[in-house]
Amino acid sequence: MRRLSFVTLFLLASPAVASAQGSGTRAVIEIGSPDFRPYPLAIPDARNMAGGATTPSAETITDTLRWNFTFAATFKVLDPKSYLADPAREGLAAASIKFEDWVNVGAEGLIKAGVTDAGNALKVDFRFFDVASGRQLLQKSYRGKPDEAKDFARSFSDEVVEFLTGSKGIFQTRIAAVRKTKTGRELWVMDLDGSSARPVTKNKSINLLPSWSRDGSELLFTSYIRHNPNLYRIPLAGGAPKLLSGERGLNTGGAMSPDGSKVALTLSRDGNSEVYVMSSDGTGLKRLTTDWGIDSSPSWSPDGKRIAFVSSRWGDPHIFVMNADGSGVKRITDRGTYNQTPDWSPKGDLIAFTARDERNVFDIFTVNPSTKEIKRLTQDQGNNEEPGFSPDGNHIVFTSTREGRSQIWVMAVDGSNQTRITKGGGYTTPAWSPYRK
Amino acid sequence: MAKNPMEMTGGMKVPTTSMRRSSANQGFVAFAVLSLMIHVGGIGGVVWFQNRTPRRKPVETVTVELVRLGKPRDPKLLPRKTAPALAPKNEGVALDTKSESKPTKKRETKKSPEMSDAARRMLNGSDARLDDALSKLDSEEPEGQEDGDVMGTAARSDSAASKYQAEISRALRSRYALPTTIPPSQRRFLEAEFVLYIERNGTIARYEIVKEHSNQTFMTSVETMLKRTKLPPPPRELADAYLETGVGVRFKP
Repeated sequence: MRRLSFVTLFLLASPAVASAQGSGTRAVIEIGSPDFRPYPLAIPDARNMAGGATTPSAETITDTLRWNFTFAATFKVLDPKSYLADPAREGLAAASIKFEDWVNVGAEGLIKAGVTDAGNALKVDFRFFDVASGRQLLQKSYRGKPDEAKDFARSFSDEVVEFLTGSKGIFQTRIAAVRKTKTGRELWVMDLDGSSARPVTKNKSINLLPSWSRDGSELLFTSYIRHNPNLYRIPLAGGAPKLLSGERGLNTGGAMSPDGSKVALTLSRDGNSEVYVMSSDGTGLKRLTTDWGIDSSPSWSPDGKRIAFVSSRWGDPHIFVMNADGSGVKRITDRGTYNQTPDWSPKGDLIAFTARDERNVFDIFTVNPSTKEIKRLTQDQGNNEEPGFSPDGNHIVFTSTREGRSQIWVMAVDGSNQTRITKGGGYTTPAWSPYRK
Repeated sequence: MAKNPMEMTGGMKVPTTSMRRSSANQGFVAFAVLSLMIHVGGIGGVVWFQNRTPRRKPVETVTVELVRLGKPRDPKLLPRKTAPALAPKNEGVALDTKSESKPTKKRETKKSPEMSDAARRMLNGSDARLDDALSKLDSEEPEGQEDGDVMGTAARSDSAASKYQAEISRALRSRYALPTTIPPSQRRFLEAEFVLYIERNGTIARYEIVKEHSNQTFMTSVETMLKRTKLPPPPRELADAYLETGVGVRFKP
């Protein structure tokens, strides 16, 4: 018995024997460290289901789908000129689609839309296919009026994003900004692609620094309507602005907490600019900072436990973070000499801010509040300022003068895919809405 | 009642079998003890000798002076964006099997990227010893494959099988790309295993999924890649095995 166990031990320990045993098995090769590249997506022209030429609604659907997925850095819309499929023959159903043609142009996903445009009634059918397997992954139909075509395309785009990534899509969100007019500065709201821009205020005064309420139904902003920079809230559905804070001096930078119960703001009622917090109805004002320097521009962390702000308490303005009760102040940026306008990512891992570099140019940066690592997102393209995160934390809206007048631009959180969304210029201090409910 | 053996021999001492065995045992024990002492003494002596004569290498002092090619960015300044990203990997539809099957070109001797030509010229002209040292450094480039894995365990592959497996690995690795729609939080858990059955010309005749991952985007990307990839032809003597038994491939993050 003892001899037997000795032999067993020897066999187990002997590499030669082990390799001999292994020679009968199939070799396995490990392939790791993949490149990550945008998801290749084909979006052929939306089909007019009534036959004949395309309609304006079908064109709107096609353009909106293509813009959305071109804007989202996680996708790559394949050039329609390269498509091999015959649009006249292919219908919406999987059975009518020759998936080989889509495989051959490099597509992994295929979005098809069919539009039935009957005067004042619009019906749009969307399908999303996995090209490799030929499986239909999503199907949705929308009915409404022709002017809702964009909304339908955005809604289905969000569905596709959520299906693939597990995160909600942002194509139905909006951007608020200040626009310079002949008589002052008014608040404007526009869709993500810059379309449907419309003024929210028309008071011919100076209106500044819009920020969104948590449900996306109101804007908080500072206005000189009463000749003092007071903080107001205004419903987007229409109605007069309501005074939220009318303290002597500055009432600016109103930012609603993630749970919507509080508003952080900057007041100078005691002579120096300090950060305060109050209930969302304007009561229960509490001072958070007590320093000789200028403290301003509060931005909530996504869990509502901390607030990022700008302070010049150590000389130059830098980004600081404190607990929501004003305790535990920590300096986050230690590079540069003029850092301002912090905005905390909804993911919590980054704070975007504007900084003036040694060339006296303003650019967008992010800082990790834990590691204090700073990354530059814009460079050598005019002044780039006032960053604001999208609700998914994957994109940033900002203003840029790279093409002359100040325009609103959006980019991915790594600085890629920088896209201008406005025309005409004169826009400042953009703010990205929360998800549309 | 048994008789006393002494009585049986008339009082003479005659050694019995048990007595002879006992004396043999005593001899073996003595031999074993002696042998043990010799071995222990020998080992002890070697250990003592080793400790008595420590072989320490003399400490060499190396003076390094960095060549000044510019000044480092002031850490108080904001960062600048770095050079453009590296060129993307091959995104062609099919691999060129001819070029894949070619033996790897001998690696060109590259100049140190940190050293400018001016600095090199200056060093070449002024100090022959430094020139020698530089050429030595160039020639002492570590052995390996240009597109090998930094964590790889072998610099060369000698057997036909391992050489071909390295070629498969190289071909698949160069095309292993996944969509960014896969959330970063899920990326490190991605794993799938396939068996590839390879034709004599390198075409993947078919594949089987041994281990499937629940993320369909990941699975679709890998399957699409396998459908589009043509591998180098297997060695003639192994062609049947690669067509019938196949080769396992595990895709990991």
